[in-house]
Amino acid sequence: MIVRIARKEMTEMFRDGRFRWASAIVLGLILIATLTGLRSYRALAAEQVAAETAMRGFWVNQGAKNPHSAAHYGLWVFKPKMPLSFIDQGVDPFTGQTTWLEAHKQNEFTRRPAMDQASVARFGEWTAAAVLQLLIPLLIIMLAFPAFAGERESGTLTQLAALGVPMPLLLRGKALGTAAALSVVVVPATVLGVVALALGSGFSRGVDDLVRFVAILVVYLAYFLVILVVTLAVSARSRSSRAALLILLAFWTVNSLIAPRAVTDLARRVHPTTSSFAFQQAVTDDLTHGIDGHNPADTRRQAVEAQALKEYGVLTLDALPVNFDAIAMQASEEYGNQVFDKHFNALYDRYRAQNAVSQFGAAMAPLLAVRSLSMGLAGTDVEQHRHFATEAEGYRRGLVAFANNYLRDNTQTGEWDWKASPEVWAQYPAFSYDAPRVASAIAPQLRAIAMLAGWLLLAVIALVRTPAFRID
Amino acid sequence: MRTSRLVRFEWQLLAGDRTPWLMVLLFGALMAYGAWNGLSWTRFQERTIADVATEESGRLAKLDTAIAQRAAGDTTVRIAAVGALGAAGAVRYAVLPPAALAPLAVGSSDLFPYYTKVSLRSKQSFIVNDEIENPHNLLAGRFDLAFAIVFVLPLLIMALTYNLVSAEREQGTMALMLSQPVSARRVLLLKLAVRAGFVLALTLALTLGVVIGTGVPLSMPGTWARVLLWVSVVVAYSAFWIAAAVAVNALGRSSATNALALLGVWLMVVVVVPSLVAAFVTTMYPAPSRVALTTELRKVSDQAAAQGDTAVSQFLADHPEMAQLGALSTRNAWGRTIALQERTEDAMRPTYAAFDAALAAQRVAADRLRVLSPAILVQDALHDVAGRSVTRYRDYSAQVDAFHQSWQQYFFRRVFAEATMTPADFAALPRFTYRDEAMGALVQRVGVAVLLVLLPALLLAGWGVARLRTVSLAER
Repeated sequence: MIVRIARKEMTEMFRDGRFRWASAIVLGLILIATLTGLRSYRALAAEQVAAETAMRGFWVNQGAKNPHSAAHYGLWVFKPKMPLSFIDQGVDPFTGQTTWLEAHKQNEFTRRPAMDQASVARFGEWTAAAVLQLLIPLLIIMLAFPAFAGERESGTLTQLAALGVPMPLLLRGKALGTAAALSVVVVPATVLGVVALALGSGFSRGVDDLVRFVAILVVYLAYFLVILVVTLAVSARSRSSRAALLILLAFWTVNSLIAPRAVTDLARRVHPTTSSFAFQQAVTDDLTHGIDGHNPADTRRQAVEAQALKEYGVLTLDALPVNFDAIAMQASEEYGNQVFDKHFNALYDRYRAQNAVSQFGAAMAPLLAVRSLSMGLAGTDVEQHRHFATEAEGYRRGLVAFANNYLRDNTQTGEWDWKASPEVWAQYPAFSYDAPRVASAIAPQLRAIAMLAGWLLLAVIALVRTPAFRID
Repeated sequence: MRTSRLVRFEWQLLAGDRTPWLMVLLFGALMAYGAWNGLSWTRFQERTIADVATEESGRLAKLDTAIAQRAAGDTTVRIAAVGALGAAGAVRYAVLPPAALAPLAVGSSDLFPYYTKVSLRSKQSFIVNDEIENPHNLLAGRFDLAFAIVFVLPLLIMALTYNLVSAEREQGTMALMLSQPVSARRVLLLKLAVRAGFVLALTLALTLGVVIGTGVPLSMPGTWARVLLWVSVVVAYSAFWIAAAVAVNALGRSSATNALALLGVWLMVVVVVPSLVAAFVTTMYPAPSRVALTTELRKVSDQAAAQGDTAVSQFLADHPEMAQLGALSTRNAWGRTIALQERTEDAMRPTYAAFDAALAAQRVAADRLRVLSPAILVQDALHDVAGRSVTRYRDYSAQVDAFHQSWQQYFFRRVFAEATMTPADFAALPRFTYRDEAMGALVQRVGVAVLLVLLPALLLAGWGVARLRTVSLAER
C-alpha cells in the first residue's frame, strides 16, 4: 500500500513539467557551484603551497645572521584550503589568510579575502552549500506543499478517508514518494561531490575526507527529511494549499534569511567581544605589568638571573659559559606566551560562545544547526581556524626558542654582533600543518547535532504517529 | 462615486482586518531591531575612536613636554630619534568617524578599518588593522535597518497587494463591483493606492522614528539631505515592488498563483541574482592574491636588504631631493632603514599597481551588473547614504594615503638631515581630518541608483495598468 502511494506521488511529480525544470535548474546550479568551488580550491591550494615553499626558502636562505635577528625576521604562514571547501567555504573569506610569525609577539591573522571582494558578495557566495541549504528546501516545499491540502481542495482526501486509507500511512507514503522524486537531484549531486573530491584533493588526507563527505551527506539528508516532514505536516493541517504554501514560505524565509542574521546580532549582544584596540592594549599591559600586576619586568629578570647562576654554579654573569641575554629573552618569551594564551584563548572562547548561541538558535531555525555542521565537517569553521592559528603559534614559539637556544649555547653574554652561519636556519624544520581528524571536528558540534537530531526526531514522530488531521 | 469615498471604504476594509496590523507590528519590530543593532555598532565605533584619541593625546602630550624641556636646556630628558618618533612615538591615528546616518546601516563597515595608525613605515605595514570580529558573524552579516528594508519590506508590500483583483473574484464581489457606476480599473488602482500609501506612510514614519530614536545629529549640515536621500531610495524600492504587484495582479490569475509569482520575483531579485552576480564577478574577475603580494614583498625587501649599501646609494640616486638633505652616513640608521624601505616600495610599485588594477576591474564589473537587481542597487545606495559603503571606505583610504605621504615627507627630511625635534617642529606635525566628499557626488550616485530602480518599476507599472484595461475582470 505504502509503495503504491509513494509510486503515485512520484509519478505525478515526474509528469509535472515544473518539477522537471526545477530539478534540472537546481542540479545545474549545484554543478556550476561545485565546478567553480573546485577550481578555486585548486588555485588557492596551489597558491598556498607555493607561498609556503617560498617563505621556507626565504627563511633557510637568510644568510649569516644573529639568531635573534633571524627570529625577528621570522616568516609568514598561510592558511591551507581544506579539501571539502569546494562544498562549503564557510568562514574562509572572513578569516585572515596569513600571519607573520616573529619574535616577541603573537600576531593576528590578517588579509581577509572578503575585503577585496565587491560588496555584492555579502549577499552570499554561490557555493554548493548555498544551493543545498537554501534552494533544495525551497524545491521540497514547492513539491510537497499541495500533498494534502491539494487533495483536500479537490475532494480526493475525503474519498481516500472513506476508502479506509489510514492517514498516517498516506503521510508516510507521500513522504516516501517525494523523497524518491528528490533522489533525481540528490543522487547525481552526491556522485558529483565524490568525483569532485577525488579530483580536488585526490584523497591526499586518506580516508578522513571521505568520512567527512559522508557525514556532510548525512547532515543534508537529515535536513531535507526535516524540511519534507515540516512541509507535509503543514500541508496536512492547512485550510488550503495556498495557506500551506504561504506558511511554508514564511518558514523558509525566517529559516534561511532572517534567523541567521538576527541570531548573529543576538550572539554579539550576549557575548560581546572587545575592540581590537582594547585587546592589544590589554595584551601590552599584561606584557609590561605582569599577568597579576605584581610582577614587573625587572624583578622577573633578576629571578631569571639568579636561577641561571644557580644552575651553572657560578657567581657572576660573566662567568656563565652561555649567553645570558638569550636565556633572559627566552624567559621573557615564555612569559609573553602565557599572556598571549590568556588573551587569545579568551577571545576564541568568546567566538565559541557566540557560535553556541547560533547553534541554540537551531531550535527555531534548523538551518543554523546545518550550517554549523556543514562548515565544521568541511573544515571551514571558526574551530578549524583556531586549530590552525594555534598550530602556527606553536611553530612560532618553537622557532623563537630555537633561535634563543642557539644563541645561548654558542655565544657569551653581550655578543650581539655575532652571526650564526647560513646553514643553521635549515635545522629548524619546515612548518607542516596536519588538520584535525573528523572526530575532533565533530566535538564542538554536539549542540548542533543535538538540535538537528531533535528536529529529526520530531519529524519521525510526525511520520509514525500523526495526530489530528484535517480531512475536510 | 467620489474618489475620497472609495479611498475611505478601502481604508476601512484594510484597517478592519487583523492581518495587516500584525504584519505592521512584525515589520516595525524588525526595523527597530535593525536600528538598535546599527546604533550599538555605531556606539562601539565611537567608543573605540575615543579610546584611540585618548591614547594618542596622552602620548603626544608627554612628548610635547619632553621636547619643551629639552629645548629649555634640560639634558636629562631623553627623546627618541626622529625616525623612531615618526615610526612610533609621535604617530597619529587617521580616524574615519561614523557618518550622520551611521546607525541606519552596518553595511561593509564591519570589514574595513575605521582608524589607521599612520607611520613613516610602508603602507603595507599599517593598513592591516582589522577590527576583532567572529568570522562566523561576518559570514552571516548584520541585521541592520538596510537589511530589513532590502529583504523584508518587499514581503510586507506583497502581502498587502498580491490579491487585489483575484480576491474580488474569489469572494464573488467582482460582479457587485462591476455593477457600480465606476470603472473597475479605477477602483482597483485606488485600492492599490491606498495600500501603497499605507506601506509608504508606515515606512516613512518608522524611518523617521529610527532617525529620531537613534539620535541622528539632525542639526549637522547635510543630515536632512541624507535623510531625504534615504527616503527617496526606500520610496523607489517600494515603488518597484508595488509595480511588480500591479503587473502580477494584471495577469488575472488566482491569489495563490499571484503570491507564488511575487515570491518567485522576490527570490530572484533578492537572493538568486545577487548571488549569481557575486559568483560571476568573483570567477571572471578574481580578487588579486594577497598571499602572492605578501610573498613578493618579502622577496623584494630581502633583495634590497641584501644589496645593502648599493640599494641605499641607488635610492639616493633615484631621489636627488633626499640626497641633497644629507650624505646619509653609516651612523644614520633610520636614514638607511628608510632608504631600503623606499627602495623596496619603488620596486613594488608595479605589483601594487597591478593589484589595484585587478581590484578596479572587479569593481567596474560589479557596478555594471548591479543593474540586474534592484536589491543590489538599493542595498548599495542605502549603505552609501549611511556612510557605510565601500565607496566611503575607499575615499578614506585615499585620504589616508595622502596623509601618509605628508607624514613621510615631514619625517624623511628630518631623518636625512639628522635633525632633532624642536617645539616648533612638534607643533607642525601633520594632522589628519577626514573630509566627507561633497554632497553632490553622493546625490549623483544615489540618484542614478534611484533611477535604475524606478525604470523597471515604471515599465512594470505601465504594462500592468495597460493590461488591467484589457484583462477580463469578470468571473471566468
